[in-house]
Amino acid sequence: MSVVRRSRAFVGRQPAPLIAGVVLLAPFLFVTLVPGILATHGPLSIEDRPLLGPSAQYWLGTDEIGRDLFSRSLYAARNDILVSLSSAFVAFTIGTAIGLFAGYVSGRIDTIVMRIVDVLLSFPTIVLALFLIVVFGRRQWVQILAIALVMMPSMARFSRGTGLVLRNRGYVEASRIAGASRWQILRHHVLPNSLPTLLVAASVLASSAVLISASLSYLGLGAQPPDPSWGNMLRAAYGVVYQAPLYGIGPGICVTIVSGAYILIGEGLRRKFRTDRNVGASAATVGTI
Amino acid sequence: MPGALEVDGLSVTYRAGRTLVHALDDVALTLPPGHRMAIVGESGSGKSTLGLAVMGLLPGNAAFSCQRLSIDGTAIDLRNTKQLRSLRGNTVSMVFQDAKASLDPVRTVGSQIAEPLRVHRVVPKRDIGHEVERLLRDVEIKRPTQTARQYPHELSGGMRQRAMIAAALAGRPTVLIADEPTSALDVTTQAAVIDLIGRLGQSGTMSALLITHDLALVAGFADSVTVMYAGRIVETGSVDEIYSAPAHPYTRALLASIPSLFGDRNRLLGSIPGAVPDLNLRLPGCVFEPRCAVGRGREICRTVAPPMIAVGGGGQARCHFPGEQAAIPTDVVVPVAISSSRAEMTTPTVELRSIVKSFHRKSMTRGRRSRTVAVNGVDLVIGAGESVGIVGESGSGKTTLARVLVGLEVADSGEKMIRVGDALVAVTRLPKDYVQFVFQDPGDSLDPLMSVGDIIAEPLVLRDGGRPNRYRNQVAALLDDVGLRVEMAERRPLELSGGQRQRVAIARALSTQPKLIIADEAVASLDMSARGQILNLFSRLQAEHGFAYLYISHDLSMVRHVCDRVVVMYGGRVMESASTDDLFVGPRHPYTQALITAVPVPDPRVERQRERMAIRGEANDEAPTTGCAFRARCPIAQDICAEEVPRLDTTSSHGVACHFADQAASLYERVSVDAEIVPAERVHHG
Amino acid sequence: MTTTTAALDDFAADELAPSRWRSRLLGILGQFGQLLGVLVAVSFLTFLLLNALPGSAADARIGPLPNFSPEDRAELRASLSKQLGLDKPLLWQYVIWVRDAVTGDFGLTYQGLTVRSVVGDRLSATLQLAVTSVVISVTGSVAVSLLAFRTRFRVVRAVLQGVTTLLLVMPAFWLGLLLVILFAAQLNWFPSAGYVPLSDGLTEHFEVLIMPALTLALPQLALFFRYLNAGLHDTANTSFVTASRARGLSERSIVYRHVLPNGVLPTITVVGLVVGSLISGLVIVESVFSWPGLGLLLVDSVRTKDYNTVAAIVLITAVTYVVVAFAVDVLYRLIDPRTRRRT
Repeated sequence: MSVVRRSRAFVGRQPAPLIAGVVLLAPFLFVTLVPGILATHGPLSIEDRPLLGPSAQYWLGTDEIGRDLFSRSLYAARNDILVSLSSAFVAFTIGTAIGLFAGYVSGRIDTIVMRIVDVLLSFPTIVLALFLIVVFGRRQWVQILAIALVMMPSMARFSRGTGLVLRNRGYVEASRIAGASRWQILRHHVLPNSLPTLLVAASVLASSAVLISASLSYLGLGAQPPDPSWGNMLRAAYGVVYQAPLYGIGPGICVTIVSGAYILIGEGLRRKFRTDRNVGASAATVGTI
Repeated sequence: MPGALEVDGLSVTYRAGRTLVHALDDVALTLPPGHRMAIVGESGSGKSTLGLAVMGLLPGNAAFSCQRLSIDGTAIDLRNTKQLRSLRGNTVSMVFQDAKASLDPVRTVGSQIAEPLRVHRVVPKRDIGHEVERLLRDVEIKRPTQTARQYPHELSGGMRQRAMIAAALAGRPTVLIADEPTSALDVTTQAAVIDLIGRLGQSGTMSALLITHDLALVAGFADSVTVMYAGRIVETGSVDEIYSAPAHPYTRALLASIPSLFGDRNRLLGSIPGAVPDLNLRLPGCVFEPRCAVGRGREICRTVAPPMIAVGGGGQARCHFPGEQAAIPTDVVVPVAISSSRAEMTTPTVELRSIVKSFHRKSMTRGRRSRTVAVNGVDLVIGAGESVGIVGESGSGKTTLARVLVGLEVADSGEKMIRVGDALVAVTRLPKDYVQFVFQDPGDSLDPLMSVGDIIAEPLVLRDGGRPNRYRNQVAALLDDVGLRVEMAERRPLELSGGQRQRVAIARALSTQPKLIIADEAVASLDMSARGQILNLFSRLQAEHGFAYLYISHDLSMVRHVCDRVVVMYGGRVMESASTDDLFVGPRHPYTQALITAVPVPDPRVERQRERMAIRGEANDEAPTTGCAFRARCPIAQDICAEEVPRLDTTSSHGVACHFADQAASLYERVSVDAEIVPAERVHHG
Repeated sequence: MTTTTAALDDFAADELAPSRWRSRLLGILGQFGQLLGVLVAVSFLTFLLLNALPGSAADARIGPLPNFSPEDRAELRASLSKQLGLDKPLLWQYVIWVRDAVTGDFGLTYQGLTVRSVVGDRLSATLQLAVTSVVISVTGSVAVSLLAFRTRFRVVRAVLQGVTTLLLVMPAFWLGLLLVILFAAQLNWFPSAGYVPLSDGLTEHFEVLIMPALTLALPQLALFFRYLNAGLHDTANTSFVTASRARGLSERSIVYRHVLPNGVLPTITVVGLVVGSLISGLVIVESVFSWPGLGLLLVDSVRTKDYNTVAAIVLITAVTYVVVAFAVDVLYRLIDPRTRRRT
């Protein structure tokens, strides 16, 4: 069979939410890598009079200085997608490592780890991130780490639950009897079997990350002007809501679509792996921030 | 005289995604008034669906058609929800399997029993409280007032089930349907509850319909039996006829596959090859034909669906050749050495001394930090090549003991000794290939992401290193050993049936040539027809490979067939230890006696004459830790039983841990049935 | 076949049962102790963060005090150092800080006002907003879930699912923006920002309150709805619901007597979590609508490095979290008999 047909068959077999999520996310990923192609204008160049409404030339209109809103929305993706994916990745890997291990070994280590997580969880999320950024600076890597730190405890808690459940599975006990070491079991049995569930949690994490990053930008702690980020564009939109009410539509839709796409991908992955007798979870029961 | 329940032409189809599952196919039955009928079948037989359908409780994705349904002469329209609602809990009521899940955990037991009273206005409002207590007394609950105010989780399993029965009786129904009411209960409790339902069904005003998979249970309960297979009724008849002269090959094969307390315990259990067919296919011909010893391959059985034919004694069978005899396959070639290997008893392979293991539970229902002693000083000796069975009910500590033995739990105190050369050496950790374990649930004990071959090779990889590929030859040999095709190595566990998965688990256990294999309820989650295969497999493998075998179970009949020596546990202690023959012919501990008299026997005549040994209460994990563990329930307990722990005499071959063993023996003689009664001529074995 | 079974004694009932109330109380106390521990840990961490900042601890504690002259500042600093015991070990300082905090003394703000008065002013505004939004989201989610559960039309259910999912993926400030665009800019029903205290008139107060409250409440509602929905459906499939149906109860009875009480249980925890971490949402919403509450104060304080205020607000947040978690636990025990100690 030709490559085209085979790939089409492959795609057809995937669950609908997965396809929808990938389709929605793709343009933004594309833009992150190669922004020039889709954007109609440059993000920083002043094109025309400020606050024009949407038109054929400026698809979403112009902002308060006269820059093209559509292009700025797209370029903002570079910042927001990068920050959200990176922080989600960091939170996922570290949180999972800690949580899965704690849940699996149970006992005292588990109790200690969970107490620490509890304390971290009781700090209000945005406040902590806010605080860290103010103290350590507004650089991008600070943003990423701050958001990751804020999301890590919930990931740890979630993966701990998974570890705890898998600990009691028959095949884990059988491996213990056969003489497997803790690490061998974690590597060969616990991790592979928990991955589908954890991936769903990761998608929720990414979705939260986008929202948190946008919120921080909105408060002025994200990308600094003149660089565009969805958050600071929305802040500007607020100021001119009576004059140009449609200003905020673009960036807001972008955030919503990206955030939603992550969730859809997660839901799709869950459906895809549901046939296996793994630890089940739905994106609905994994809390948001 | 209209039947209490009459069904005709009932068919039910479930829609699961894009597939249709034909759960019931043109089912008809008649339940006379004041009659006790049992509906028997394995998984996929449709028996539960039948019960739900009659009550109109089918889930939303079920499509059904019914030619006629009437209760006590009144026609019922299954699509008339109003009519159904007025009948449910009123004229026909149902008792479900798991009482813990079938009672609302946030409401008191009394309020739930009161529900049908209220809804159907059985008694005036002010009398509801009294009526609830009266019902609880009817189901033999001693403190009805107190129990009514308790929540389901505060009651024991047996009491919960009785409460459910009370709620079902509230509306004074004509028909009581009980769907596997005792599967979740212990043997001794099960006997009491079934007796209760049986008595209620005999009262003349109410008929009882018992839905179960347990053929032994049915023998003592039912007046008539209906056998179901793959959504169809394949045989009906009086209970005596069914057990003495079953007409349908399926019934006969089923009866041959169940172990019994009486009869030749060395016979191989019958089994039915193959598996229950996919219920979404509708093939021509007899649905049982592919597995039928009589009809397999026969032209007419393959092409024409058999009608119900009248057979002797007023029964009917859906078969072209009812009553025809054929050899029941036991699917295993029996090596001659099978009996002799069982008699060997030389140097012990494993010895446990004074094992004590307790747990600190943090569960919310029992308060924090409660300490339960699961194993309270147990000694155990297993000889080379010996097959030992440990029986006990819930809370006996048998599973914990096994887990301590194999290293999954660490004992609080006591010694574990294994054989090194000619001597016994105490160890804290077992060598990797000394003991292996087969778990109860094969779906849980096999990693769903690994291939069968990798699963079987894992112990070898862990012991000798390398990658699974290195052991391909051994894996192939093992697969062959357990009766699976070599190509299975590439498959995943999810593609296999329950019996096949258990064979994979056994192959894995064999891979490192262990000295001892422990099987913890290894067949409990399999269908009755598949159990025989696995047990026979164990016997053959043991004869060929010579490992010692520890079989943990609550099922006494099963243990009797499989083991040479039996250890009875209760409340974390050993009550009695003896060879199988000695134990079952002459049990000397009151608990053993109670157990044996409670186990149902698949022979109606025996069951009718049996008397049960009287003990109080239920098995749970709250047995006293001082003195004799059994004293709270023992009919002959006295003061000394609370003060002194009765010691098991380990030197004698039949040890009893009881201060009054002689008294128990005489008590038992009055109650027991002569074990020499051999059931009438049944099936031949190949 | 006959049985000689003695009537089965209720063995468990033979034991004397301690009073239910006493065991309930012990359970509650234990839980409270745990939460207290969390509170201590949080406060200590906050304190550490305060002291780990660049600049001398004294400076941070006392605040930049731009309105004071350098001489006054030095004098103030010296005396406060003594008073706060900054020359003593860290743990001691922490104890002093806690002692002060308990009496309400958080030191001075950036402008030299007492933190206490500034926070106090803002507290009521935040409370109005918070309480209103929680009331809306809780009652709204229960109503919507029941609707989705009992409706016969699959369309209704699908629409509700879609809308709630959407609410969960959009940023809160965009939701606020949309509401403002619709109700303020276009329809001109409500103002887009500002604050009118309750004392100045109920209608005006309501007009200003409704939009920020909705912005805060709607995503919460969506989250609760998801959990409730899952809880109701899971409960509907249980054996005891079928058993009640088998006793002849009407569908309506079943929903209100059995499905709802069991179905809400998992949601209670979520509600607790959300309420406890309300401050995060408040920060955004108050910024968007210029609502003079603690959230807005927090953002401003962090930006101006007014750490005393920050510490005070964080502490208040932590206390709220602990109190709410405790309340949730008590509520749980009241509703679910399984969480009570065995009688």
